[in-house]
Amino acid sequence: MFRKILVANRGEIAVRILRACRELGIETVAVHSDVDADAFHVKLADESVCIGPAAVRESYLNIPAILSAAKITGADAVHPGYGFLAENDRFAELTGHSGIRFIGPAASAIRTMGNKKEARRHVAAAGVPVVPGMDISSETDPREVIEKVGLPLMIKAAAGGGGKGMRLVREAEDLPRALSRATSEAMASFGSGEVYAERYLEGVHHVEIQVAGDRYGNVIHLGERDCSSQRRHQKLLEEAPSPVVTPELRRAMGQAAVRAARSVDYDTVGTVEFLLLPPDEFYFLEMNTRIQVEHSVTEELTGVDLVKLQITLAAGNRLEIPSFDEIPSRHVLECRINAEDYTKGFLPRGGTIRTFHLPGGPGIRIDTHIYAGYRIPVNYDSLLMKIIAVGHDRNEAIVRMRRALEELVVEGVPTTAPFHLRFLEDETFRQGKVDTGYVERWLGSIQ
Amino acid sequence: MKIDLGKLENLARLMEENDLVELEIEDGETMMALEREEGSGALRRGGALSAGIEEGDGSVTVTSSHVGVFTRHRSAGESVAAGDLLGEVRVMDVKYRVLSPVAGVIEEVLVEDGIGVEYGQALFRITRTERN
Repeated sequence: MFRKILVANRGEIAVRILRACRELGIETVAVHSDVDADAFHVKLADESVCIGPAAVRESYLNIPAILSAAKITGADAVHPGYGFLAENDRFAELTGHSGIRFIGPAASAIRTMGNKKEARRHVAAAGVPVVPGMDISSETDPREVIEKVGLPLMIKAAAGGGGKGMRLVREAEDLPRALSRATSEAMASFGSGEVYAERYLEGVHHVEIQVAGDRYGNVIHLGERDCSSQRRHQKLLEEAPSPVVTPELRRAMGQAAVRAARSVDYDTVGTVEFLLLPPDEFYFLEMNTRIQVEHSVTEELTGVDLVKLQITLAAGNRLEIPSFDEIPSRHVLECRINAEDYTKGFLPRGGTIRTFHLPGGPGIRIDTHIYAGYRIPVNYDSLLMKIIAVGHDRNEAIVRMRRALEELVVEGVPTTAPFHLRFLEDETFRQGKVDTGYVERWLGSIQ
Repeated sequence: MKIDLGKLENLARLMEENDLVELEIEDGETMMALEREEGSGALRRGGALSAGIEEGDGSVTVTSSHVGVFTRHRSAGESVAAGDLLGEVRVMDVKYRVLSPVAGVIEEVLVEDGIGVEYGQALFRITRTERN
């Protein structure tokens, strides 16, 4: 086992990792920028090293400073958390070259999964379903396109971006005209008329599978999380199990996720994200080769401490648990509480936390780094805490979450707690029918 | 030893971009040491002189701009000019110079030779001999 771990992160995830280290009896080093000298993770660690000024490029993304901090403190492993350098293959590689264990996957796995096109090709070869698509041209038989891709479909420029050269096709008879228009538009915008057709998915859920692997080729899954409640691709609320996943579907998605992870010899914890078109059509979206914000949802569902598991796997331990094809009968919700004003387009706000009271009681877990008197720096992301509510069923989890949100007191900055209180009452959410576009439609309707 | 000019050019660019004054690279049997004229890009941007904090009593505390292992070149009691080499901080394989921001007398060396220092850590206390 490791003797001393350097945590190359800040905020709630740094606190989460330090707690895991404490339970494992491992000494800890926190790193911080100069504006984070009073941050909770710095107070919690055995040692701390200031690695640079506030700008992330000069501190939390400063690879030489972080590795140098590990060297001078004698750390034998580095945990990257999420964000910052967690999915930087060069950091993983350089850490290893410095004789320090990177608590995460091999650089090659990060590289493969970090490139969307490459990842898609890679997992498709391993038998994981990807969104149906094909390269097309004016020579292509429209019937072949409809058969292979399905309707509705989107024609996209191969060199594309910014919506240029994109055409949505709902009816088979519209395909030839859309294709010629998309081709000429792509030619005009990108100097290449190359286009491809991809199935256009509407009403999809974002369902992701937690996976874990060890160095000996074992890979398991730990069930799903439904993260469909999102705004501009930022997750706001996560839950497990997904209201739209059946036991059969869980097994199928779990197996697909394990195949995806195996295809890159995955030997740590990670997440395979899918788009799910209910009832049971699912497609690979991407793989996150790190611990995620919402890992705590799976921890509360399965009882597995994912951060401790991640550390022990990096130290060479074997996976001792089987896949969670069957999950305990309970329900977990997580609300991300950000320092943002949701009535003003979720505008992030800095400030000092004046008064502060955390909810508690049965079924409530809170992961946070804030405290009364804490000044939130404007340089970093706005996540203040995660409230996790566990109930015997979905309704009890919702009731507990609502109670916790009502008990929560944060004075000094606006938070997204009022958004959650309101959203939890929504009928579509109550019915578990939230798709990935729902929150934005709902926000438009309540204003 | 064969010199790869492309590699040399890359290293020179790396030094310029990172405000490095000295760079040593070892690659098997080849060892290359590059030194860049102070007063070129780095000094123009004010990046090479180490940060100094005015203490009010006329003294200036020189702090480290990097995380690494400190080596002392000058001792307490010595007079220094602005830009004089006081010591260096080694970050992995790269040495960064600690250059005096002021002219004065070193009152105190605040860090022992060979130990790790963090960003912003006080290294020297210097009493100014002249206002600049």
